[in-house]
Amino acid sequence: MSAPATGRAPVLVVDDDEDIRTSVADILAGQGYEVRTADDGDEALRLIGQEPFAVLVLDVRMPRRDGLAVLDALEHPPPVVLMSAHSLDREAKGRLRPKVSTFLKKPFPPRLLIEQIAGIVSGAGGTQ
Amino acid sequence: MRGSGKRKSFGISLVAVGLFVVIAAASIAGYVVTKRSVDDQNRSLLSEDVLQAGSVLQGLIGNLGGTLRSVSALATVNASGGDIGPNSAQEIAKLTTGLSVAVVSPASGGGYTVTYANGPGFTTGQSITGPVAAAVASSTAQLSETRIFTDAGRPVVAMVQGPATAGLGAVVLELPLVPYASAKTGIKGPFSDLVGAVYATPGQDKSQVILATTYQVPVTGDTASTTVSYQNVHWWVVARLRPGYNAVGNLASTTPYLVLGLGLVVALLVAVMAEILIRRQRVTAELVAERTAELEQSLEHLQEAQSALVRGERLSAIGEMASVVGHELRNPLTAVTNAHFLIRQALGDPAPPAVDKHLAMAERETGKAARLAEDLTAFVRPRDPTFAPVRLADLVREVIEATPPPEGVALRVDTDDGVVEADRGQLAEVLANLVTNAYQAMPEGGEVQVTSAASNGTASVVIADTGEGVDSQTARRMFEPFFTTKTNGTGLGLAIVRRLVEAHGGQVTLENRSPKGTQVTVRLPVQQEPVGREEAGG
Repeated sequence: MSAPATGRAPVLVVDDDEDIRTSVADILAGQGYEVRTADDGDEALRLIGQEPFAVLVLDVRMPRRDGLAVLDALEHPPPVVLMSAHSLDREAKGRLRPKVSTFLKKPFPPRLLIEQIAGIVSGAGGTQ
Repeated sequence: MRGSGKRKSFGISLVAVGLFVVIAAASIAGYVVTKRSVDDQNRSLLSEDVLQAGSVLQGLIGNLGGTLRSVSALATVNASGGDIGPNSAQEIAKLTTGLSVAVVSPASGGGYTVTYANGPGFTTGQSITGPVAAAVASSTAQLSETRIFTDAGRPVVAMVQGPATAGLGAVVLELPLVPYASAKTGIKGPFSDLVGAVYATPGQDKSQVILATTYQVPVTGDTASTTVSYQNVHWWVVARLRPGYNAVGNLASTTPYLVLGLGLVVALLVAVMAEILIRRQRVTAELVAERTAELEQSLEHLQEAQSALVRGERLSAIGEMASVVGHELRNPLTAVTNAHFLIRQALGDPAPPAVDKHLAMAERETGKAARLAEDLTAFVRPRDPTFAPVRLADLVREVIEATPPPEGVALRVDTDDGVVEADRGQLAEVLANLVTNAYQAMPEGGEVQVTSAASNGTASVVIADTGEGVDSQTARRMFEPFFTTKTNGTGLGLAIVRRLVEAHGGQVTLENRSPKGTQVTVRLPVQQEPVGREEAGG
């Protein structure tokens, strides 16, 4: 288990699926991250408006405001790990690239998520 | 098909030939029968003519015989001391005008002497010798004759009316002969249709020709003959019809040829008509067959189109379902995967063996479900290919390196330097899928052969194995989604292969090899046409 990362901004996990949301939050918490969760885009935007986040772990398809709408609403979002159950074509990925550090297709190995976030937090940035 | 002008050229039909042969044979038979009949008629007419000629000759000889008998009577009645009285001599001279006649009597010293002569052949007092003397010696009251002999270089025949006893004279008539007098000019009158000869002996003895209307003696060919007898004179007449002369008449003699000619013409006409009818019928039959074939083909196309439609609809329904299933699986799979991770974290590393076994199983099965979700997504939403030149030989090498053959499977690669415009990743996925399938088709080992070649705007990659092969029904269904022969297969691998290949404007086929195994052929255009892009889901 990694050493707790103290003094850092928390990670925001946004997913409408409670099981995914809590399991991802637990995994990241297990890595020592401070984690906040939101179950839809509106809640996410509200939280982002209140405090800064080190990483935004964002689901694409959600009721009401979805992940892409959240990205559209943020001019300078924190580094984003975009989780999707659907394939994104090159064009969509290209359009989102400036705001998304990492695309993760569900289901993904938890290790990959941990590595990507560690990379982002340490300043190396995520891999595609 | 219509107007392709590809008509078969027929030979002449057997029926037409048969009809011709039958009618021609009948005409020939008719010809033979009528010809024989005409010939028979000719022959019988010839015989009649010859008999008539014979009776004319008989009359002639009879006249001469009568004359000689009269001379003999006159000579006998008036004979006195071997001399003929002046009255008798006058009578005899009157009777024998134009003839060479002699009355002969036995001479005192043996032999015979002429006691009276008329005409150029004899002189009074002349001794009779040779064939005439012999004839006189054997003469009787019946008219007899000598064979033809030569007198003063000319052929003659002598007739004798005897007997020549002392005091009674035999009468000798010498007939000078010009046998071939009419051979050049021919004879006129009732027998002008005959070519023949009269002999002083029965049988064709050239030295005994009395009269001939031809130089070609003996007379040969289709002849008729008769013997002319008067007392002890026996002549023989033999003749044939003059060439070109028809005793039965021209029409009758032409009949056989008419029968033959008309018969052959009729045979030809009937055969030609039969042939025309048969050909017309054949052409009609061929047209009907052609139309039937076209209809069948149309029907087949229709059925194909219908089944394609049905397949398309089915695929579309499958696609909808696969899409839903695929995406809805992803979220629970993510949660389960995360849960496994958290459980392992909670249990510590390593996990207690009793739990680890079950946890590993859960992770494996989750992995399979994740692959199914991946395949479903790939099948439903094929990614748009991004085209770039791909050197097939390099790609095949990369794929083989990434998916090496299992133990017991030999690999043979034969590539040329063909380059295609393709999505490298997708094409690699296609080849990896096919190569893996080939490996799996040979659990007992064997050989996989990968061949690539490009020519004429098309590139092909062939992946062949030496496995058990598949039956034809399986071969047809191999590319259908969810059709699988493997216990662990999703049945989407080859369906995805087909999707990807078709997205490249190519096609993929599977067939059995001889003696065993299957081969899959991927054909791709070397150059890509620009294609529309699908909108991707988010």
